[in-house]
Amino acid sequence: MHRLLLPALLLLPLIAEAGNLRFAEDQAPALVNPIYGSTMAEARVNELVFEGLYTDDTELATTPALAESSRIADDKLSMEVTLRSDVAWHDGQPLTADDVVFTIKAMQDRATASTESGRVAWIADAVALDARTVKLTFVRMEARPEDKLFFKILPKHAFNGLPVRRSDTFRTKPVGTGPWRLALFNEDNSITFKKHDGWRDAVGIDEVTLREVADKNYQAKLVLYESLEALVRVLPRDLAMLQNNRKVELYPYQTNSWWYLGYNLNRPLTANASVRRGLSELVDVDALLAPVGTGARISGPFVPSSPYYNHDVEPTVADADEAATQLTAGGLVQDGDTWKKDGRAITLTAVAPTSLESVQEVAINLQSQLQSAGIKLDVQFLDDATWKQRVWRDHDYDLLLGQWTFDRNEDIREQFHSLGTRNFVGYKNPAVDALLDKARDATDPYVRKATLREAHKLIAADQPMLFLWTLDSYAAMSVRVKNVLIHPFYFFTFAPKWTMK
Amino acid sequence: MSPSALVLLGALSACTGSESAPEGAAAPIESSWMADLVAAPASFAERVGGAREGWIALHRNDWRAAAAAGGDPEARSAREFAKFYAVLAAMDAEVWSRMGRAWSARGTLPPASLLPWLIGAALADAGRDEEAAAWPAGEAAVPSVAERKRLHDRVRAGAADLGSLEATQADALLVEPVEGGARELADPWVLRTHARVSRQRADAHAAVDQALFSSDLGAPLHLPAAPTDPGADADACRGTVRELDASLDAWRTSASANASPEGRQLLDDLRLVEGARARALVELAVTALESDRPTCALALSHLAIDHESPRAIGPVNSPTLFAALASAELRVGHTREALDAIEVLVAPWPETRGLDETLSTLVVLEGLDRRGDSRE
Repeated sequence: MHRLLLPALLLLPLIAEAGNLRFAEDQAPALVNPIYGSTMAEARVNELVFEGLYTDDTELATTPALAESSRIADDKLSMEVTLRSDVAWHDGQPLTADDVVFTIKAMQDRATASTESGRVAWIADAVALDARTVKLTFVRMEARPEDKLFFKILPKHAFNGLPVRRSDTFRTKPVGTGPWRLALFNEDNSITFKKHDGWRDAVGIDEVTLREVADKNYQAKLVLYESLEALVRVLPRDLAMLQNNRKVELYPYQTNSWWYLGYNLNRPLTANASVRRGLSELVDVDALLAPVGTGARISGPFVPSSPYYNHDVEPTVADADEAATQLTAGGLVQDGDTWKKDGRAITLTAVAPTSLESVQEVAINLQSQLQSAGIKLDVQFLDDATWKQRVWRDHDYDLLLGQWTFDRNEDIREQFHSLGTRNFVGYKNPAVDALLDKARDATDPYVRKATLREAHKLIAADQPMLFLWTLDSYAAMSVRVKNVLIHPFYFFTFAPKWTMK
Repeated sequence: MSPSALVLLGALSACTGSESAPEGAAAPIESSWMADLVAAPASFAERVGGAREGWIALHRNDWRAAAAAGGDPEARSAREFAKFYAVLAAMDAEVWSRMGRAWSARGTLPPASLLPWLIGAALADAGRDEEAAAWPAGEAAVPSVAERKRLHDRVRAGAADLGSLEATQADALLVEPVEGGARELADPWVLRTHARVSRQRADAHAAVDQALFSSDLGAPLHLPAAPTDPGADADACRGTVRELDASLDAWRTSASANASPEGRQLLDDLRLVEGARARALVELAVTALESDRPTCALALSHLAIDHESPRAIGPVNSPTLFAALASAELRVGHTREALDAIEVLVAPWPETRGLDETLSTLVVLEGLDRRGDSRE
């Protein structure tokens, strides 16, 4: 959708009907299918509509959701999961073991091209033993397999077999088992979710509405004007204003996200490590960060409070002389004010998602910095669908500005392992692969810490991306919403217990 | 007491979670140091006396500088130290306990490591004898560890100065080699040693009459009654803060209107209301932790943070705020978030480095079997 203007938004009802919680997203998901989820907005919607076999309880410990019980084989190479008997899909069909098997097979099917395939790579086979029992066989021994069974389950009957396609009609008519069902995609790109009456527990809020508000500058105002009850992410510069308003409360909820400037390692120029280092050293990151707000610089793929952050690695600093040395080593030639390769001036294409807060200011600033240093940068802002095509599928860019958000496990394997499903920058380092494999298999937490701190160091040295900064995440909620407990990653996990006055 | 102060007292002490602002609460906090100071700004010089630098340090929650200045600021900072370390020491013991339980449940505790002994030592030192009994006890098998323990004993007994820990308190107690790295085991006694010494120092100081830059809002602030449903505790405590805020907003408006330019300047430039509010909420959060109400403590800590600089210690954000926040996060199961709060303390308070490492180990341990999720 197109950018909405504040006056138009203010025509929205000022006070929601009792039991209607309205929250804002920068961009409404155009596709609702959890096996293709790649954005936080999609993850939040999926949390409303779908469920996994297991989920987090309020203390973030693993607890059954669609599963009723499970039994792990003595050799820890398989398990049987018994499903709850009281679960119905939003269309009234009962949940069956076939649904679970179908979901796993769909995610594993290469033709499905699921962005979530890495989450089931540890499952060698899935078989329905009866209507309510699934047997999962593992690739290797698993001590607590239920900890990995959080992926969302799909209804087999809503698809025409395997493989699943992005274009399946399911994407706009999703059927889940979650506490809310998707009722309507509205003309203004908002999405209405209605309470799933057949859900097993009480749901405190009858209706949830996702409102697409492309301009983040307006989102905080809409909360203040009581045209929204929730903001899932508050701009740092709006924090003080919201903190001083007594109708709104701020909830810090997760911090494991970081910005980066990624290099396309599939392109000859940026495949050259010296060129990447040189480009990184042309960038004054603090100047990029200034308009975004307070944030902490980072030197690698973790946030500074992470168990895995290597504090011995310093963030990259702008250094024109060192940049020149590196660019020259990478085969570039400085001709007056312009850097050239094979006699032609360097022009790079940078892409950035429109949904990323403040990204336009950052990108324009970056463009200006590189231009001043003699490198022309063509900046393109992409909507969600174009981003997925250009970046994820076609790798059609030189540089990209992006942000990754991690749950508390801070598992970077999908981004930096050569086989990672989110490794669209094309990074490959056998030593890093080995470290990531070792970290995944570690049973001693000290070993995992040491291993990933080493991975941090190697990745930072390779510079597949310039690691920029981390920002704190806050939600803002109307004081009318009660019993608020926010899941630090999926946001709405505990929302069924929320109520409104 | 004036009628207006009674209104405030009612708002502060009888909150039960109602979110509505009390009608007609626009009354100054007449009996508080803030009201006195704003009404008579010239008294500021008299109040700070010869310890101006100490008071300024206390205002920005720089307790070390305040302590070094002597006088009342030193006495006040001694109490702040005591409260701060008490929260951290309790949290440290909880982290060791959780790590021991989680690791032991997995059955993969490293057999040749000193770790099991350290878990027992941490629990015993915290007086958690029943839990400690499940772990190895006795003299440490490693001489350097036994020597560190003796040093702590001497410091606690007053036979050695706290400063004798400074050279080593930020370092690992013991480094054990593991495949591809090292297992850095933290000192399980350091925060309790600080807590005990700080308590002794606080007790040795006479009471301080001067309430400048304190949490005193003119009336005691109490936790609301605990709801029968523990899940509602956070809402109840948020309700308390809403009522406090309504009172403070009303007082600020009134005081600002009636004050001289100098009084208004003090009110605004020194962020008197924000600082006193945050101190009061942190004290309440610590009380909530002591009362086994971590969800309440978490709500209070969140509401106390100065979101303009959420990761910095300053006039609003005290070190104890981050300690209370970390402790509350840990106790509601949000271990990773606890680590985030502790991170703020590590650089200015190197003695928390061991807690940071042990807590980060617990975070990793709890997620060893998880398959992480990430999104754009």
